[in-house]
Amino acid sequence: MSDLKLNRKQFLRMGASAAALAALSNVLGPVSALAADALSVAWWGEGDQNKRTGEALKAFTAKSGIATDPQGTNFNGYFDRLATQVAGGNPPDVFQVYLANMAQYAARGTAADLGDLLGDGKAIDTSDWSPAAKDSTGLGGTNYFVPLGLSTQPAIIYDKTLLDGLGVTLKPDWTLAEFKDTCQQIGKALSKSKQGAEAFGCDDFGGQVPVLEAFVRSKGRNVFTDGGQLAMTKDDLTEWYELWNEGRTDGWVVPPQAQQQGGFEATALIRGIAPFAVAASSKGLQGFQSLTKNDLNFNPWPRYSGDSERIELVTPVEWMVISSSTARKEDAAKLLSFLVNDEAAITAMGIAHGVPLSAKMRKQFMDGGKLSPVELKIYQNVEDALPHSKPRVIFPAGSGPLLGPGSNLLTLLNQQIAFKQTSVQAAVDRFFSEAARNL
Amino acid sequence: MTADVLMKHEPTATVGRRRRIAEANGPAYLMLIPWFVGFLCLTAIPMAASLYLSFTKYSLLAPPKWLGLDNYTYMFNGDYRYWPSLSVTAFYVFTSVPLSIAVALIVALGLNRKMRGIGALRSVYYLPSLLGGSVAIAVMWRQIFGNHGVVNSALALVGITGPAWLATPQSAPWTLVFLHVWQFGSPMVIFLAALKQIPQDLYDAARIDGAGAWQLFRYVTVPILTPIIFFNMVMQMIVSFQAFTPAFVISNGTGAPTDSTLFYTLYLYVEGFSNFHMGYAAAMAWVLLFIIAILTAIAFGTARFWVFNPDA
Repeated sequence: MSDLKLNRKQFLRMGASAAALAALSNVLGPVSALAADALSVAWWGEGDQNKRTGEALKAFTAKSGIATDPQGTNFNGYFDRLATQVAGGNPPDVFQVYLANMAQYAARGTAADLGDLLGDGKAIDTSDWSPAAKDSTGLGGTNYFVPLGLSTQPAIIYDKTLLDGLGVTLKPDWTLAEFKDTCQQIGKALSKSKQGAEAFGCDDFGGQVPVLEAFVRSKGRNVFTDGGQLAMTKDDLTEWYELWNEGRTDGWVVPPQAQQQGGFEATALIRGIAPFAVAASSKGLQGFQSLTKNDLNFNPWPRYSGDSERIELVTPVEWMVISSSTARKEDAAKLLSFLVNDEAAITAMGIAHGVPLSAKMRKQFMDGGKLSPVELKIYQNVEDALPHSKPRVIFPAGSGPLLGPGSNLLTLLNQQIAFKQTSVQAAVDRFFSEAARNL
Repeated sequence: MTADVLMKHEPTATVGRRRRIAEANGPAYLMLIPWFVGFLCLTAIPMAASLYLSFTKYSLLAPPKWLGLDNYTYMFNGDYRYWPSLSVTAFYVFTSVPLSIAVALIVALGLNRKMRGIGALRSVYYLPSLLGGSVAIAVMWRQIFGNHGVVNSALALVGITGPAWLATPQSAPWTLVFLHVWQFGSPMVIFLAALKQIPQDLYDAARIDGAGAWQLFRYVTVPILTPIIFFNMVMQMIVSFQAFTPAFVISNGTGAPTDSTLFYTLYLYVEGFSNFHMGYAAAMAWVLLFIIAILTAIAFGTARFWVFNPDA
């Protein structure tokens, strides 16, 4: 030990060298990851979705000989991990995105331009896809996104057993005024049948982004312009908040005190206090139906008025993108083409991402006799909605704080109105001033 | 002027002494290298990076852009959610910390006795602290305080209609306070250890002077425990300012209803990871550090007025 001569300066030098080495190994990490043979694929999934996607990836490897590195997680934490991977310069080769943030990933240069890979007769062949799928692949004239399936959004899911018991029948082409009347009628009848226990006509959808979007579209415009600004007007939002405020006052909307945080199990539909819930059709009906023995069914969001057109939205719930930094774009494109166009992959993936993009494939599955009654309903719902579907403008980068997932401004302001902490007018002003700052 | 030049002019005896010290400390420095590397890579460099990012616009997905003080200016003057989140956190800290210390002390006093099975009983009381910060407990809390949860069902048995604990902005923060207070195990164990160190002579002398149970507690136990109360207070305060999991789980990460459970750290997380405002989130983190440092300094500054110091 006496031979060891290490003074403070040498110690600091050695420490700094070791730290630099550690930092260098971080930098080299992606290089070694890229050198690995497997194509990294990141996605989130609920229930058995991760297992199903894993099976589809195995089928792809068996068919193509291209190994994959599956990185399936649940939704919570998925985007934290993905953003950290991107920030660290080590994004997966292929990863899943959704409406709330897909524009962020495209606008910041993280998603690859698929211009040469996506299209009719190209590596990701779109020849058989329905227009609703083709319309959802681009942002600002560039194709970035590969849809994983089609669903109606929002699907208004209702308790048919309960409504039949109350003698209420819903029409698919109902109007907003009829919606309000029906909810009032249901609220009164349900309350009477439950002998005064809490019962309402409808859950509070005032903070639900897909329902707001359906409302604005029912008036003939999208929420955003192609240029990434709000197309929704102050009058639209005022009318929207007043609709739910009026419902609370008249007693047909579930009041804020009766709301519960949670998943499907916490909704008014499953708790039996109001018969309507809202979700993307593919995930929603499966999720809700697994929690109740009552028969559930779909109805579209109402038309704005008797003169208005019935406008629906058939669109993907999730998309895949190819990382702009991957060296294996062609392999990634082969994988995505397989996932969305190959019958074996579609069978393995199931219906959680929606129904197949191709009308031919949908018909094949519907006629195949292998779909469960719930799956068949989801397929049929998409077929019914497709003739009324019009493309939406994808939410732009910066819209997250306003209309993104979880803690967004639309929901917060709806709650503040419900608890009488703010007025509708002040809420609308707040929304638009924040929109001006964020967009 | 370099160190080598300085060394040339130093007396030979000094240089020799330095060399001997360096030789003697060499192994210690060598052993310290792993810690030093860890400190540098996992603490110092990330902190410096975070400080830099706090002056930038950084989305995580694209390189940061220099903003100067804009993040800090917006935080104090423009962000309509910042002050409510700070206010909710302050309420949480200034209610849950005194309550949890009081409960911990009361339980420690109750468990500070010799009786059969007391070890097992102490373990049982400590259990919530082992589980306390977990997601599972926060989920359980949601069930307990749900509209038709355990608490309201129990109240219904005696004819009381319980409030919607988690659904109203008035009661939701209190459920988080209760959750914190329920995790009194760690301060309780520290109090228990301190109670055992109080000399019996002091109690005997006070009893001879006619002190009753309350006086014994007020004039003997509490003054001697003040260093422990101080320690628990500072530690609990720091932990409470950083609380995240309960609010995240109970509100599904939204801070609902009406931001009444939007803890500072939850808002920081939302800004950083949901809204892609990582530069702003870094600025929020530095302000939180500053707030905790100031409050800790105030606590230490006031300690000489109320904390018992046997060496004084």
